[in-house]
Amino acid sequence: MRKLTKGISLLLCAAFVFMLAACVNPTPAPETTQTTSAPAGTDATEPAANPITGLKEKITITVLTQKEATELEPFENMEVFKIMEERTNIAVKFDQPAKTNFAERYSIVMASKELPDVITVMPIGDVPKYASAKTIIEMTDIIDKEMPNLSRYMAEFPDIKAGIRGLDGKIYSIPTKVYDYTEWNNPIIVRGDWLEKLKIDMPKNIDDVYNMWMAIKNGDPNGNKEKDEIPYTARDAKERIRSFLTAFGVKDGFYNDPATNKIKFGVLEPGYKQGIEWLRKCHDDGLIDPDLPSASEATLQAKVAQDIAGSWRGGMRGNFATYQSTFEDKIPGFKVVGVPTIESVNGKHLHHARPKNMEGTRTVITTASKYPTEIARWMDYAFSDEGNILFNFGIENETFVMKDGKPVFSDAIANDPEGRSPFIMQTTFSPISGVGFPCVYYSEAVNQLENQEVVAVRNAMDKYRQDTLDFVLPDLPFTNEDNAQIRSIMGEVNTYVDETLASFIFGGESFSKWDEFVANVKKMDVEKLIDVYQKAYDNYKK
Amino acid sequence: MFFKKKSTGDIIFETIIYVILTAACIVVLYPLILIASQSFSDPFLVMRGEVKLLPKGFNLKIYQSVLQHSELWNSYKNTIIYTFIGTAVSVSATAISAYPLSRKDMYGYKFFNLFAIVTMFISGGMIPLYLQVSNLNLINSMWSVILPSAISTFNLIVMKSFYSTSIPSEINDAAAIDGCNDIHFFVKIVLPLSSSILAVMVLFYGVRQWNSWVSPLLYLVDRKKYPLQLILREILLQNQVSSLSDAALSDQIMIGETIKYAVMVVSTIPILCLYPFLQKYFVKGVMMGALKG
Amino acid sequence: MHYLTQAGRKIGKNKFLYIMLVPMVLYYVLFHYMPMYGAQIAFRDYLPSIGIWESPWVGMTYFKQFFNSVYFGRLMRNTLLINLYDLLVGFTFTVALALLINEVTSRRYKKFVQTVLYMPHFISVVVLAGLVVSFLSPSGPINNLIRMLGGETIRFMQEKTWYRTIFVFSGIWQDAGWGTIVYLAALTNIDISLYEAAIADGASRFKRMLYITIPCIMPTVIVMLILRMGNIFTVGFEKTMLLYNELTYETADVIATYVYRRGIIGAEYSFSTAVGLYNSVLNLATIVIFNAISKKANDIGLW
Repeated sequence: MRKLTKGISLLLCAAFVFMLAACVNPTPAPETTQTTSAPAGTDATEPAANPITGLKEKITITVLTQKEATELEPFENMEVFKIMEERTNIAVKFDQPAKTNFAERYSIVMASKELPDVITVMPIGDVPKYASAKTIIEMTDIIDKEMPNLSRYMAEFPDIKAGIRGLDGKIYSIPTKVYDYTEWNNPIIVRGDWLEKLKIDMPKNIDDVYNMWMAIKNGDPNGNKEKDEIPYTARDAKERIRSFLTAFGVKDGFYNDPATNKIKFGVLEPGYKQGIEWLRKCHDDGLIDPDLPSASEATLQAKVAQDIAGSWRGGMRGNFATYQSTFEDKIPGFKVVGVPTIESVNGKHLHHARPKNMEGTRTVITTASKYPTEIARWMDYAFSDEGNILFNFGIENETFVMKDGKPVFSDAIANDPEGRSPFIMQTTFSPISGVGFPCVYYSEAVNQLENQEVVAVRNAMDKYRQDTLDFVLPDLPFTNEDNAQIRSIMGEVNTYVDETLASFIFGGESFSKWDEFVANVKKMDVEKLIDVYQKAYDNYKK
Repeated sequence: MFFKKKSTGDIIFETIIYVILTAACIVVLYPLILIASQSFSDPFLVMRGEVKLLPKGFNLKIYQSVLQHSELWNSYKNTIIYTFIGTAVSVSATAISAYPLSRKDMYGYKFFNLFAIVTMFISGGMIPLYLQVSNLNLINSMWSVILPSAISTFNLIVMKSFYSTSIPSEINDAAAIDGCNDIHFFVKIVLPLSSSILAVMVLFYGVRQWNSWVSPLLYLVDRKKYPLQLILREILLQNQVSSLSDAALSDQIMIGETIKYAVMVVSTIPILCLYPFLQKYFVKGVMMGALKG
Repeated sequence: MHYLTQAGRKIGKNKFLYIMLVPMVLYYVLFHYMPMYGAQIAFRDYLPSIGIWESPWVGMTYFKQFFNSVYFGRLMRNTLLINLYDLLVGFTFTVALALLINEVTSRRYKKFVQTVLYMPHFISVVVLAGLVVSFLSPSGPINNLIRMLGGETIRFMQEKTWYRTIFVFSGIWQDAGWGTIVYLAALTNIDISLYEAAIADGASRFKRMLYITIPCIMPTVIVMLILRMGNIFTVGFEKTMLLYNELTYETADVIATYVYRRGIIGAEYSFSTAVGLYNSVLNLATIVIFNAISKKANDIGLW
């Protein structure tokens, strides 16, 4: 016991000493922007102005971004940025928290008064807030004058300009990642080998889908003499099944009704009820996985792995190409294909998600930066032809080689000895596969790496792009007041809609309650928002 | 204590206890064994749900990828240092604070207790705390991970209640008559009697520091200072599907679930070894009877 | 004058105690009281880059938004009911477990049981939720057992009547063992001579537990109970997120998850701070009330 007492006393003293030491010896404050100046008067000639940024001396800027867990290297290790530094005279200090931790880091950085020069992953809704607080700079003129390459893409894809321009006509951000081809997503993904075995064609409309599911359920395509096939499953019971509503001419949330050119809210429309009734019928007939409300990505993977999932919806790579490469060795004959957009009741081919040319976060320059013009030119470089090659293909003779005048990925990237996909290998030298840096996802590169079935379904969906473009709303710019109203109303509405739809489809609720449901939704002031969306949409189309 | 004679009542009583406890252990052990087994199994079989008790398709690939993570061993080292120092600071600070708080006769007893307790409820939030830590120049230092959470009010209350209930006032009076001042009394008498609660505090604070990842996340900028839990958390969450970018999804999805289990095993084995070591301190303090009268 | 010298004398008598309190006061002032001004974010329209003092004052706006929510009543009810359920079942279970463990005579078995029962505490909530979902899934062991006994598959995770039970019992599985630590420490300090006297009087083990052990740890139990009351309006958000879904919102949705879902559409510092402050005030009021009741009843309290 005496030893323990002594021990405790020692600890107490140690504790006091430590605490004093901490207060007396502070660690130095973190660095901010610094300029390195060339030694004065020692050079016979003045250093030439950099052709891209116009800088005579190297500067260092700070950039706040985020790291996807799947990116193999943090930005500070990527070759692409080292080469950018040589070519532009701008060195970068990256603040790169993991994506899952980004929200906390972001709030702290914004509150700390030591703002970085650039933030590449600002949520869209925050842009007008920080614009009116004068935390970020207006970029309308800077884009016109200093960013010719980005302007080129904006001219080619009018969606981009319409998306980044605020209601007042001013631009405060640029897109983080642009696609120079049309990126479609979330098709119906089916076991192609099962379709062949059951001798059915790709479904073209909603009745075909029903019949396909029936055939899967009754035809025992996995050959184990048990009726254990689940014709349709997914990772949740929301978007993944409500996406079928487009076949009835409506969709979830706010959309544009092409017939009348007015904004509508799905739940209030008669087509919506028909769609939910159809889904309920499918559920009762055993075609839709009854466990969907409690599903997750893990349970979806498990069912595919158990060879019982017939079809699902999901990402082109995550739930399509990746499943193909993962399971083709484990399950004999495994083949997944994508179903092109099916025909809706009104004759159009409507998909529930808009094809996009840019990603959902924005890049901004803060008012704390001393070099907005130079930074704009630096960012524009990534959008140039040279920049495209650099960001997508990497370094000549290391990560790609020129064949017949076209860049082709080298073996190290395309055929990694450890079996990692080329998209992952790209993350060793470039930020392109993540969402952390403004640049262009180049179709040349993508087509070389993409699973061919994915390319096929994407092209098929693109045939009817106008139908969807007229139907699904893009990310609209709202004022701060509008945003606040949307958040507070939709917070309630979404909870109510999610709950009630789940009970209609999975919980056996009677459809005699439907009208009451719609009336309740109206009571939550949703129609007020229809006007808000209409105003923003009209402004967008100008 | 030396009575070996047991009545039938006693035997029934003991049997019931053993049955209940053994059942509890089985209920607890089965899922844990499952986790460990799955971490050692073939990921494809795990995904298909075929691992029910023992590992199937034994392989160490997952452990390899976790243990070979470049930042793992460095973060392990950091965690050991932070835990050791953090626990020392916390336990000492809590022990010397809990004693005065247990003295009902102290002028300001109610005030000081409320002073601590109110902070459990009213807080300024993450951002003002961050700014304060930054003003104290602690950002990116080890102390930012130890000092802001040095005293847990919950632990403080537990400890001070322990003192109130187990130090009878007669001892207090006897000491006062002997001219012993409070600090003396604390060191010479109270501390030796509190070995069990001190062991509890070492365990509580130790585990808390070991598992902490929120403070390191906010206050440490240098990845080389990251503790184990932060690195493990990144590994654990790497299979979250990002709805934004479908592009760079891990093509090793099969490892997804299995890696969670491997991470669990890696992060908890060390702390599990701590408990049996502390168990011997969970013994009675000096016999109270001897001090009576 | 008399009063001041009286006070002065009292302070003088306790001067060493005050010295011992210095580190604690320093700690709380630096890391809790000084940053407390941030609580006013609840009353302002806060944006990090313009700072707290410059953010416009909006008074009770966000509080009103929360109170006016269609779901306010439900959220409060669920939060409270889950906690009461947990208190009734979980708390009792933990204390009972501590008593049982304490009665084990074999040191080795005791050590074994304790180590095993502490282990679930270290499982991360993500893994715990995964275990729960998989055990209760239609193809999991529980349903297999049910079908073997001739029953129908129960989709536990989608039944709102099962939700609270699942939530509370998984919590017990995880933390009952760990929760016994404090009680076991208190049990070691019970005067052995009390037991010796009881044995001499011929009391059985059961009687000894009933009349000596339980009364002796009552003060500790009461303190732990009061502390637990300080959380009566808080239910963990992460675990709820992992276990609930649209079909169980009715019994599962709690204050924390509702606030989180609103925040997905866009960061809402002020709203979440307002709700958090409201939550804290309720918790504080509860603990004050229970502390007062306890002091009146048996003179045991936190202050």
